[in-house]
Amino acid sequence: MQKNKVFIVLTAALIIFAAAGLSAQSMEIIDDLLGQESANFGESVYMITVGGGIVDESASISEAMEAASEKKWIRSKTSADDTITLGEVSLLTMKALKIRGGLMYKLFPTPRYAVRELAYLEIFRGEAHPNNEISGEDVVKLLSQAISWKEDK
Amino acid sequence: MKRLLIILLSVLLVAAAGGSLTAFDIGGTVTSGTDLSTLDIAGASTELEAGLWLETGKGDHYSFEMKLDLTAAVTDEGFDFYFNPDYLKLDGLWDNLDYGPSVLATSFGRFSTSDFTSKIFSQKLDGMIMNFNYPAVEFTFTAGTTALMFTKSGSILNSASSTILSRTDAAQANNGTSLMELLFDPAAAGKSVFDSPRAVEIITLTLPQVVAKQNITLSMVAQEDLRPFFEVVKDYSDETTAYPLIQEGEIDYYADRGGAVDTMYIGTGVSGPSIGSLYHNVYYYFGTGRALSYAADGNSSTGFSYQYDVITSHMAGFSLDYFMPWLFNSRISAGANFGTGDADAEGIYEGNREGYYTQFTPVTAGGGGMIFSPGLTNIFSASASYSLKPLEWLPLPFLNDMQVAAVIMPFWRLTEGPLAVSGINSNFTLEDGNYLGSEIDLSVNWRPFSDLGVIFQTGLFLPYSDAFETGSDISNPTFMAKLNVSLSF
Repeated sequence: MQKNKVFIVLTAALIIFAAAGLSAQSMEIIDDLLGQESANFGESVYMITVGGGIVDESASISEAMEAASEKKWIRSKTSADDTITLGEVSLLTMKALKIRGGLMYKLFPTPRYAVRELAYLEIFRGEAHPNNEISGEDVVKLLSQAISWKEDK
Repeated sequence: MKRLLIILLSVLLVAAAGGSLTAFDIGGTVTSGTDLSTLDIAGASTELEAGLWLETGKGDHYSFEMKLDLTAAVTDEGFDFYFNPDYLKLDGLWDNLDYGPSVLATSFGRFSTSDFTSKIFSQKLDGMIMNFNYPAVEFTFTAGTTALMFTKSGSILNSASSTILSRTDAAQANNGTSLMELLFDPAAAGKSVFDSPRAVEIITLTLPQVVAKQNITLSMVAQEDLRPFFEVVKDYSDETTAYPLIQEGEIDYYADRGGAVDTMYIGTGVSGPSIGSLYHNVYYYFGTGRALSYAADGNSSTGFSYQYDVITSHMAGFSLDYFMPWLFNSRISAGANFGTGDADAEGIYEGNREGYYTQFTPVTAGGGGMIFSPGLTNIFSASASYSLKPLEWLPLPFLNDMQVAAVIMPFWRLTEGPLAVSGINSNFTLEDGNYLGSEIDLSVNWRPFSDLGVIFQTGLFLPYSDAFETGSDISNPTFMAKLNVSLSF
């Protein structure tokens, strides 16, 4: 990983865990996620739910998945070992951080409109295609950008 | 119809290229626009537009975007329907390159573009853009044609292509029809569905923040009439083309026909911060090229003949913007610009009779106010505006981004020569003055949601009555209001 990438990702991790503080477990999950070309569902859900204050930083991945499932943000049968798409990351981020969406998102809170809202807010740049796979590094960047945006509002 | 076939083939080719890429997204837009005016020509009209867009891409380098619009217009005279490919392009982006520019961006297809001032050319073009971004310089090359633009694509939501530089262009535009009319109305047979066929090239070189954070821009815009090329291809004769050009040396006078008008514009500009929150933008263009003149000729049996004369014209302007983020995010702006005229020209298109042709003629018309928007020809206009977000202090996210803006624009002509606007009183001499009138516009731009936009505009034009012919559209104070609502899904 290039030096500037390491810096960006570490800064992003610090933003996400600013409130909770980094533990050995969260460091391990971040490290694992950053190495993934296609981000893992469970680890992504863990990062997003911790970043949104839904679960405690000491929670396990399965507890994070359970919390998201209880809130009906994800299907109960979704496996933590699956890969996650840009749309799913965007929808979970919108829900966890309580980001107000557009009119169509209010009517149909789906991954597609979540991606388009985050693209409109310039929380991420690039192709706003909900079915695209997303790397672990991009999950961390997107989440930290969303948290920074929320704090600035 | 051949050009229609070319468009369809281009769409299929580019769509095939785009379709071979992986992920894609399809969506739509619904836009409603309503005009209410005291202008006889406009009256009250409404347009409803349905757009279908498609985006697809692969990796970090390529993406394909397309948007097709179908517009239904309701006017006093009935219904009109328009089909319009809004954009259709294959983009490429390469950043962090190890050699050459740090960023290389390309576009092929139909896209919107403009010169650095948007005063010479500002509309859609079919062609290519290549942007080379080096740390100390940015270079952009654009080349394309207006030949595949539709002459009519609505009047409220889509401004039709406005490349009218010659009498032939004007004749073609006056005889224009929409694609729908051509396909379904037998009365439209023989009319032109396409805009003036012109090749356009724009070269822009920007030196970002060289001295005192100033951006220095050098620009060259050129356009050539492609009719002579088409006529060679078609083994030209008056019978084979609906809009024949007058050839140099022709001795008889034709009031409604002209020759090729080829122009080039070389310009420069400086923009950047002046002091504190005050920003400036200064620009200048020298316009040159050739246009036919019906001038005295001792060898002609009529005493006259058509000859190409050189165009030497000028356009310049400036704007000052002062930002006050602490006062409802407000901005005060002032500016002025002018384009030279030709005092003895007999008409706005190819009107020169002798000597240099000093009339500045931009490639695309427009600019000015909502009601009075003469092209930058033989005109001096000033503007003062103020905009703010009056409700930004409210804790209501759907209201605090609403922006309100007001602008006042007085207009003067520079010479007794023609202006790029109709209804000027032919007896309005220099002794009567040069003031033409002033326009006051007010606009409210509200986006309650990211996918829902509302724009409300009102305008009032107060003409100097002596300047306009009695009974012309804007010889009396004229009011216009526009409401535009757009939803993207």
